[in-house]
Order: sequence, then C-alpha cells, then structure tokens
Amino acid sequence: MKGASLKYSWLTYRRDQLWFPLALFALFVVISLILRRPAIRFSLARAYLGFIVPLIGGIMASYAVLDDPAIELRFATPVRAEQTLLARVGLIVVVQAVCALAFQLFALTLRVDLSPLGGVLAVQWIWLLPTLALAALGSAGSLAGAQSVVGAFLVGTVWLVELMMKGWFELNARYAFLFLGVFTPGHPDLALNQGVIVVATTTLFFLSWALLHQQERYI
Amino acid sequence: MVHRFAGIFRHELGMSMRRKGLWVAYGLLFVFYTVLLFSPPPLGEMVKGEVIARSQLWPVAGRFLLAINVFCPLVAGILAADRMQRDVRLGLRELQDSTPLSRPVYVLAKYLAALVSSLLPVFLWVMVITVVMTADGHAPAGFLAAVPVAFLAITVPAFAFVVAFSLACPMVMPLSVYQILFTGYWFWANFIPPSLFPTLNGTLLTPSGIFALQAFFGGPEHSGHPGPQYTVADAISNLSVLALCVVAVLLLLERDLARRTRRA
Repeated sequence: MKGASLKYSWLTYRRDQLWFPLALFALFVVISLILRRPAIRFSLARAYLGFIVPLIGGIMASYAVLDDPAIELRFATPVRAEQTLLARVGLIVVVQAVCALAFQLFALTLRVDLSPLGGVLAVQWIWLLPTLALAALGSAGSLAGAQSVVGAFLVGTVWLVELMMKGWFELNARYAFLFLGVFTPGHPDLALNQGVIVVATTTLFFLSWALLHQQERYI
Repeated sequence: MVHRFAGIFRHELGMSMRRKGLWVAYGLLFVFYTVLLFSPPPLGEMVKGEVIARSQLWPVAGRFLLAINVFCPLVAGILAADRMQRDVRLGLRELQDSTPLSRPVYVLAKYLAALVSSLLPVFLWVMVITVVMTADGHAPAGFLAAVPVAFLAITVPAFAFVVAFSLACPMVMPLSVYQILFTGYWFWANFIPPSLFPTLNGTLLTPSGIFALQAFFGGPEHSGHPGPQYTVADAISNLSVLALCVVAVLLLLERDLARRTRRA
C-alpha cells in the first residue's frame, strides 16, 4: 500500500520542480569553474544562495497547489490542508535546501571564502529565510487570487523591487528587506529584520492554510 | 480576414482585461510608484515647490518612462506567459484549426491583444500622473505631450519584446520555469553593469529603453556602464534589433503551432 502510494506520488510529481533547480545549480557550478577570480566566485556563491534559490523556491511554490489537473479529485479525498501545503511546498523547499547545501560544499572545494556572510548558521539564514518567505508569499498569493500566476507575479515583483531598490529599502524599510542578511550581514538591525520576516512568513503560511480550506474557490 | 483578426483580437483583449490578476498586479505597482513619486525625500522624490524646467521636459519624461520600464514589463511578461499555452492546454487550438481562421492571423491577433492589454493600464496610469503633475503646477503643459512620445519610444518597444517571448517560450518549457528565467533575465540583461558580470546590458539586445532615453530624450543615465552616450543611430539599431527579434519569435511560434497541428 505504502509502495503504491509512493509510486503514485512519484508518477504525479512535477518533474520541473526537480530538474530546473538542478539545472540552475549546474549552471552556477559551471560559471564558477570558468570564472576563477576569488571575488567573482564569492559574488556568484552569494548570488546563487541569496537570490536565485529564493526566486526558484518562491515561483515554484506559486504553482505547487493549484497547478494540478487532478485538483478536484484531491479535494474529494480526506487530505488535510496542512498536509497538502506541507507536501507540496515542503518538497520544493527541500529540493532548494539540498541545492543550497550542495553549492556550499562545492564552494568549499573551490576554497571560496563565505565568511563575509557570517558563520555557518548565518550563511544558512541568508538563503533559508528569503526562500521560505517567498514560498509563503507565492502560495498565499496564488491561493488568494485563485490563480497560480498571481503568486508568481508577487514573488517576481517583490524579488526584483527589493533587489533594484536595495538602498531605498535599507533606508526606509529595512525590516521588510528580504536580502538584508545577504547585502549587510553585520547590520545592527538584522536580528529584528529576521524576526519580522519570520512572523510575516508564518502569517502568510497560515493565510495559505486558511485559504486552502475554501476548496470551492479553486474548482 | 480582417473580421477574423478583429474577432480574435477583441476576444483576447476582453479576456486579458477581465483578469483579476492583471489589475491586482498593476494596482500594487502603481500604488508603489505613486508613493515614490509624490512623497518627499527620503521616501520619495517629490520636492515641494519644485517645477520641472521647460528645457528639462523631455529628459524628465524619458527618465519617468525608463523608471516605469524597470518593473512594469516584468508584470507584463509574467501575466502574458500563459495566454498562448492556455489555448493549447485547453484544446482550443484544435477547435480553431477546424475553422477558416489562419494561424498567422491568430498569432498576430493574440500577440497584439496581449500587448495592448498589458500596455493599456500602464498608459492610463502614466497619463493620470502626468495630468496631476501638470494640474498642480509641478510640470509645465508641454509634459502632457512629452510623456506619450516617451511612452511610444521607451515603453512600447520593451513591452512588445517581452510579450512576444512570453507568448512563445512557455510553449517549449513549463510556465513556472519560464517565469523564473524571465524574472532573472530581466534583472541580468537590463540592470547588471557589464563591468561587473557578463551581461546583455549595453548591447543592441537591451530592451530597457536606455538607448532611446539617451539618444532621443537626452537622458544622462548610463545604466551602470561607462562610455559615451548612445547616439540616434544606436537607438534606431536597438529598436530595429528588438523588432526583428519580435518578428522572429512570432514566426517561430507560428511554426510551432503548425508542427503541433500536424502531430495532432
């Protein structure tokens, strides 16, 4: 029974959630091997961990729940909303986590110094927190708009706005700046910034969970 | 043929304009831009009592539209991405193939409708902002003429470029994958200085509007790369290359639809 369930999960699993993060991981590995200057390699590692992993996680999470041809059948089964969210969004985050950890190992083998980003735990925060936040935004946005594209738009726009207006966010909205830990790891307000993002992420996941109970909106 | 084109165009335009996502997406961005435009520093750029000088009308109009091009084409690209793929996924193409509607007419009407639906809200908002700035004395009346011209030269080419790719690319890759690649591309190809990292920014394939701004409107922006300002010839070449890309992508899209019809 368990075997059949796993087989069904694998057969219905969206493969792009696996091959695409791996393809981008491979791309960054290749670019890092080609560009040999330590400063460029550090910038690439920082960009991959801090910006690319969260973007992939966020947009993939936008399509995690609603982009399913069997969604009506799934709603007819006694699967709880939290289970659905955990299985769909959790799997995406796990794939991103594996890629992020593998890239850090790869960076270590190239002797890329990641210490400007902080200690080992601090480095994990710089990719994990934005990834979870954008995944929460993507899933909440797509469920609130009842269209996956709304979540994808929100994630893409927040990502681009925060990157392009880095200076403005540091000056006016540093607590809502997802990439504060990436750009200024030693910022005095970093702990508060991370606390605010954790609260916002939790709220968005809770909103997703509440919205997922209104199944008639998505049929 | 004109009737068929008009029918598809009207239908697609209506469908696109009625999407909640479009208005939510643009609405959020417009609120954001409006706050930036009308708030005093450090939050925004509105300096009390400051009036745009007549000699600066065109550069300011150009810079205004270049600022719009930073985020709005991203929305247009993400929202347009499912328009063509949706027709194929829902089996609408098979129905259309059984009618006298030709594929080139269908592709062109679909493209123009998606383009107009993504441009229209931006144009309306831009004109409202322009009227308000003129009415409160922040800009002279000539601004009302300069902004639509800048819109044509800076905003329309960028949108035309991204909407063409957004219709075609999701036909050969998953939608979510395209949207991630497109978001990354928009940042990489328009805003990363070439001195920092290899990028398309600064080449004739740059759709941000920086070529038109510098060549036609006298804008001083360099988009982060050193060197002389772009000339009128550079800007015309840039617009021509972008137009060629649009034509090539739409032709490839039409060929892809033909291949799918043969295989069906």
